[in-house]
Amino acid sequence: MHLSKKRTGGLTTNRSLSMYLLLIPGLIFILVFHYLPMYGAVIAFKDYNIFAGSDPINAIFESEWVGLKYWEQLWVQAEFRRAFCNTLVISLMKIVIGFPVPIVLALLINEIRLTGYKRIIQTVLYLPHFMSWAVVGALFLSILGTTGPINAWLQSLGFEGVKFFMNERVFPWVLLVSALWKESGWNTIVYLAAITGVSPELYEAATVDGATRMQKMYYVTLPSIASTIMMMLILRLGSIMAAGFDQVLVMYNPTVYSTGDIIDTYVYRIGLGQLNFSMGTAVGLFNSIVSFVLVISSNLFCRKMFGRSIW
Amino acid sequence: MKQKISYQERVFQTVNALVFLALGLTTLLPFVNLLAKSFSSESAVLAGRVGLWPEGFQLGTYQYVLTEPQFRQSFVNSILVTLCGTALAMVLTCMVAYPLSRGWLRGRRLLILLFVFVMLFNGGMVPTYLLINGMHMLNTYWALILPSAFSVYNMILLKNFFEELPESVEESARLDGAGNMTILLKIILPMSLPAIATIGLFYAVGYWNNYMGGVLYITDPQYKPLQQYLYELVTESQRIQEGMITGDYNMDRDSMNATPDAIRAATIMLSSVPIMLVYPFLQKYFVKGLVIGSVKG
Amino acid sequence: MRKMKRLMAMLLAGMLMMAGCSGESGESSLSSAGETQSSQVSQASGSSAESTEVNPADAPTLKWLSYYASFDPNSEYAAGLLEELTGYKVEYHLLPSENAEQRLSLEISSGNHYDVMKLTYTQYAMLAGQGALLPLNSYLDENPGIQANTDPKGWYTVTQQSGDILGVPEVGLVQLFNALGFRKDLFDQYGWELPNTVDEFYQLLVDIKTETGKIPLTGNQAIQPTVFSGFGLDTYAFEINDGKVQSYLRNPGVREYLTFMNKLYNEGLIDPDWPVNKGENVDQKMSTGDAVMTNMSWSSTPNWTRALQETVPEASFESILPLTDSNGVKHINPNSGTAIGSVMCIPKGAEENAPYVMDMIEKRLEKDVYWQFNAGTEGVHYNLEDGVPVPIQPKYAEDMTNGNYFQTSVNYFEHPITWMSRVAKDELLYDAWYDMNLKSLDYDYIYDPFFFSNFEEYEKYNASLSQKANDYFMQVIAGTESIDSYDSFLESWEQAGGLEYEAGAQEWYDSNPEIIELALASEPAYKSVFGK
Repeated sequence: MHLSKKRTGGLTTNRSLSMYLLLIPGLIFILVFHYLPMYGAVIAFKDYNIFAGSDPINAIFESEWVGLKYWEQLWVQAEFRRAFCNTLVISLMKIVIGFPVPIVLALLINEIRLTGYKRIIQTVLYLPHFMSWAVVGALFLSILGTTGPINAWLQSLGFEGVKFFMNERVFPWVLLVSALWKESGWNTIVYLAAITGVSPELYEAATVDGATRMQKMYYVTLPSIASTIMMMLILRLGSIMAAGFDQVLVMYNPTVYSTGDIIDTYVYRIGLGQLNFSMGTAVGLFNSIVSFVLVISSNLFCRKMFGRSIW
Repeated sequence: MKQKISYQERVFQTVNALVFLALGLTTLLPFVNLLAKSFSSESAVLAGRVGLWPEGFQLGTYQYVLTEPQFRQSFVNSILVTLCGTALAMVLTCMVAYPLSRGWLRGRRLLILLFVFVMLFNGGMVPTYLLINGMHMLNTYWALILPSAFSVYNMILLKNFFEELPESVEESARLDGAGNMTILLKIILPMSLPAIATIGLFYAVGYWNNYMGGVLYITDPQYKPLQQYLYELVTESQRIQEGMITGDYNMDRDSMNATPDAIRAATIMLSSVPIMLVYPFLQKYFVKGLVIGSVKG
Repeated sequence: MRKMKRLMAMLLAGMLMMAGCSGESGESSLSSAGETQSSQVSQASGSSAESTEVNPADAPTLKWLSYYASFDPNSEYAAGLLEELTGYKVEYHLLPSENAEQRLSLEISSGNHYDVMKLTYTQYAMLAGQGALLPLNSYLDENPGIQANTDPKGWYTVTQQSGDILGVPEVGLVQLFNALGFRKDLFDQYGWELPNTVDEFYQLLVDIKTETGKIPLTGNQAIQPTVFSGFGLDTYAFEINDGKVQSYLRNPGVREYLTFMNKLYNEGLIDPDWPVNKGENVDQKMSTGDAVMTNMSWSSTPNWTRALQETVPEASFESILPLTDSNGVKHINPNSGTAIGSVMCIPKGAEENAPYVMDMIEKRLEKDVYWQFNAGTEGVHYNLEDGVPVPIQPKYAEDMTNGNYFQTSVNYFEHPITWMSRVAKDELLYDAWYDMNLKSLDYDYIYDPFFFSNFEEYEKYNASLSQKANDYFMQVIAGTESIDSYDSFLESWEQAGGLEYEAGAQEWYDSNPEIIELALASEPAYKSVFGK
């Protein structure tokens, strides 16, 4: 920063000016498509009836203020508090266990020497990303059902069968494993792209020092993609409240509500048949605040600790 | 790199290859099963007798799906929207990511925060709908393209890639009198092909899989995107299937139009294969050494 | 199809008789109902051939919005046909399957223009409650054919307290769609008896389990209707006891039912995957022969039979009626789904084209037109065999599959006959339909007293409260919850809106007892056809 300031003032301004010009289309875009519609968030504090005014915007003004009514309504429900905890638990499982998986996969894929084989593996691993949860849910049910192959195998070994979809302790793991299976391959793409950016000179230097491939992976590749990993982690924390609505809705059932019901599915159930824009907005706003706090603080943490961050 | 491969490394290579073979099979087999179903007779699919090879082979399912007017129309819509949308989104994203990747830009942090904020907060469905409605874009391709023509998430990824590039090349170009645009087009972009390919893939897949755009902004079936068509086809048949067992549905309205499972399988195949073909095509940009090589050359 | 021949000789005569009877009873009951309604309906049925002054040639293209469909109505055979037959050009728009109500309210509240809407009853009720719909009373007077050709009872569901009629309702046929399906071939082979009581049913499950090792009963519903009946329960939301309306949840039979189902589950007599099953899993278990019985719709029978016959050539399905309760009653509940299939309505602000819209609705209900887009053209899409339209394939499937989407209501007189083309298209389908409906006619059907009801609290709470009860039932059946918690469940159900829900039903009942009587006096649509 200091270095650039020491340069001639004219060059700096010129250089910056054209940079700001480049930003204009993007800024206009978020202004129009994101900031402008944000007035809509006030309906989280109103008893919004879309037909209350001459048009939906006018209806926002016409609707009555209710303050934090929707949050209070939710928090007094024990079922909601349980869903809140489940959301955090499932999300944290998916982050703590699920986040490193694509990194490890990317590092190992990178070690495959046969180029053709490597390409095929990459393509095959990301196939499940294109299946909807409806299809994936049915697949896991057929494998893990009481009459499925896994239970048949367990029973043939003399164990008792496991009701994967009806056991409240096992069910979160079913969610985790199916999510890993579906998305891990796809999530390697960013890391594989980052690995291609590692300078070959670093590898050559390591080779000269007599490093094995494993050592190169650990001492060269991993540090080189560290900033990408950090950035992905901060972004991932931003979606902590999204524990997987589509997935849970397809896979859960009333017997595993105690550990499988998340905020989104709970709000979906109580909102069935009711046209309540305000409730949805209130929950969305709550999720946004939680995510925002996490992203801001993790970014600050990374900047202080490692000197690198998103901003 | 012509050193002798040690025994240890050979073991590692073999084990590694085998592990991925196993992993690859777990993700490939379900797809093969879906493919086999799409070529199988309805009875075989219903009874769950289809494994990895079609039972009662027939092509009628594909013939049916491919002549279905709504499928064809939606297919064309999604291709059009994906191509135009990805192109537009890439231009916008590069224009934002490049300035924000330069550490010396004044107000950079504030600007990034301005973008990150909209990644986490939104005004909800009502105002966005009103905006699109106010711009007279309901029931147009624009409604499917514009709202997702810029993703902050992708921009941050791209910005991160740009930050990783060695600064020396850029500095020397600058000393030669190159401006920002020249540097972006002639140096940064060619050096970031893997990143561009990645982000391009994310946008393309995002557009292809976009289903909410149709739900929120389209009522004219002529503009219905493929994913919405597919989702509704699957929902409809599940609802009818469910209703047949619980009795909780109006038979008269649905008149037994449950979509056979084989048709669903064929539709899923046809809708996912085009976008899956994009990745192998992009893989040639993922070759190591390309980054430096392109600059040197 | 042999059965069909035998049966259908009487069809036309029977149909006319039935239509005559129902029309009469409908009218007489109506005169005792609200004044506004009775005057309109009797007026309408008096003059069905009156011509109106609107000319389709002057009409602009009419913009039609409806609930979702996976096909494009604009490219359907019926769309072109109807344009030719009625003279009205219609442009069809569709709501999405997800977020449909939100989307609809956005479209209408922001003033987007549609000339006519075909909505689900829930969607209609939402707009009606907001005063967003145009009263149709005067138009109905102008187009008397609409009321003359439709079920008079259905109109109660779209009439406001003010007397405003806000929509044209579509009432489905009263018939049995579901019953307990069983493997006839296995029953014959092992000599099992058809069960009548809960005890006999239990013994049957034990026998099936011990003798075959198969799953005796599969399914996925919290309320298994066959068993439910054995405990004196109907699958309806409300019961009336001495003028007091209460939820079925207060019937002590529910506890007994849940205890019984839990016992079956624990003893492995019903599918261990019961809470997890989706429709496709049940389908598969029946098609592979892994399970012996399930609640079956006659429309799923042909697929199961064909799939099974590839490995078990003699396989076939028949149906068992609901179990008899301790009072000797079988609770046969027809049409347990939504009473009203759909409602045609016009948003406020679309007055200009409303005369054309109503004329279009009326024209589509005319006998000839109705036949053409529901059954097709004789000799091309169907042949009349003893009065029944028997489809000519593949032409019928190509053109007529989605024909019912274009209905503006159900033609009360023609629908029972045109509709038969849908079951007559497949012999197995026809036999299953015939078997189920013929057997059931030996007993009195029990109708939903609130079949034609229309009150706000129902629309507001029904979906979420049903879900809540369903969830709890499933937990008790699978043993996650104990039946001892029933009282606390009921309490939380009351707090989640259950009390308002019941109060709303009570209030509606108190002010409309005659509509309840009318609903309870319904008749099976095909009673006369079956010669009962």
